[in-house]
Amino acid sequence: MAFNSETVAPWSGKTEDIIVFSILAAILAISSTLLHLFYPSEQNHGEVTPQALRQSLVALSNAAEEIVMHEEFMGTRPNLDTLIEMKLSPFSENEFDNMTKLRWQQDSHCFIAETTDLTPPYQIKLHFSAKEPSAPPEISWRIANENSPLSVANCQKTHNSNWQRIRKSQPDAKDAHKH
Amino acid sequence: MHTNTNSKHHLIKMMFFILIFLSTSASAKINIGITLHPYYSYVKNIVADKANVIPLIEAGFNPHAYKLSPADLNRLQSMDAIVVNGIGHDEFAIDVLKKLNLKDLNIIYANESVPLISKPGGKKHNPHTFVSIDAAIRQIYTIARQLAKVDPDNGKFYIRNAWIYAKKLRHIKNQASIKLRNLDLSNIRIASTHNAYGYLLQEFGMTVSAVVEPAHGVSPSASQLQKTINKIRDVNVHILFTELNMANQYVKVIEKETQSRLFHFSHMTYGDYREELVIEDMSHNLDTLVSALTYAAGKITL
Repeated sequence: MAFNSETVAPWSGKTEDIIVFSILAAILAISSTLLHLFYPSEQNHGEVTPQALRQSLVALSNAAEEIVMHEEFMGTRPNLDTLIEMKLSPFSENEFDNMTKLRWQQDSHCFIAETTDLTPPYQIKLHFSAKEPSAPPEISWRIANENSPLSVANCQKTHNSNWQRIRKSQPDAKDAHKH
Repeated sequence: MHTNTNSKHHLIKMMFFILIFLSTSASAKINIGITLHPYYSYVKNIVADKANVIPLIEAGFNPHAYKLSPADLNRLQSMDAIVVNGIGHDEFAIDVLKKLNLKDLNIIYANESVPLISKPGGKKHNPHTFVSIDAAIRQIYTIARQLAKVDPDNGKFYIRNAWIYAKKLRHIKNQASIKLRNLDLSNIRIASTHNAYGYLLQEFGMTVSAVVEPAHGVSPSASQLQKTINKIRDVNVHILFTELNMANQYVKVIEKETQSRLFHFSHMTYGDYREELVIEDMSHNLDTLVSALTYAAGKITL
């Protein structure tokens, strides 16, 4: 029985190092690419409402419900003048100097406002769907700039115009402070 | 004789039908669970006597560290809907609800439409939305709308009651606003021993400069106390809010060492479950707020 022998010359050690490190780098690159692919960044989902705007948005959210209730019980949707007359926050003039001030405009299905005392200024809007009257109204906010003047024409623009919708809170969210 | 027997039969039949009607209308009431005291008040004011309101845990337990017992789980299984905070104040219920995954139970997330005070990243929130007027109203409307879906026969009744209840709560805020209208609140600095009052203070344009206790009901060590005193001195706090019925000797030390003054708010998660709890305790909280801000504004003027 004949044996076929082959002599393998040892490498210097450096070649092996390069191969091992190259394989490790490739594994890391592939795994991080796969992680990004399967678990995309949640940065956009974690938008925090600006502190200066939060109270106005809470009040606007309550006002939205009350406008809908007014419509259900009285049969008509109140306009901006009526809301101011009803002293419904955040449409009515604010009583406190340290609260955010807003300037409002309205078209048939939308109320839009801009802050007058914040830098940068913010815009908020309450939009009722014209196509689906039973759909819940949408509340959104954005930072205003020279390309986004306060105008009811901006009411309809929801996509690609930096509007942030008030998102529903996460049911599994955790407390921000330890008990 | 025959006529008498007939009328007796009629009477028995009538009584039988009345009993059936009564038992049907009693069983037609839906069972609504709640996890925290303020939600008992909200739901009871919304449903009145048209539904049963059932606390998930008995009164007297601290919801922060609670674990559900078999009796609590039995109660949970009898519910048609349950109202939860869902942002950190009733994790004892949320964890179990996730595990049990009860298909016939409607979970109502009271805070789903509240713009929350969140940590950067937006995943951790201050869960004390119920210690406020506007955030409470927002929750009451959410609860009423969801209950109207669960029990459509009484839907309009629930929504109208929610509106009336919100008006009562807003009246308390308006009374306080009138008293505060002429005060300059712009330079008042506030500290709190419990991070529960952020939503209430933001309604009046105020923020908390320092939260001086890591957990309510837990007293700090001597070194932590010194740090707290230093922190309050650094931000030059005028008033310090702490929890009602919280016997913390160290708070008095802080008050003395920092020249700030102490005021007590109700956290509304104590004692028996009561329909009037929120109206009564929010009235107390806003009276306290008016007293505190009037004191601080006067101190700054001097």
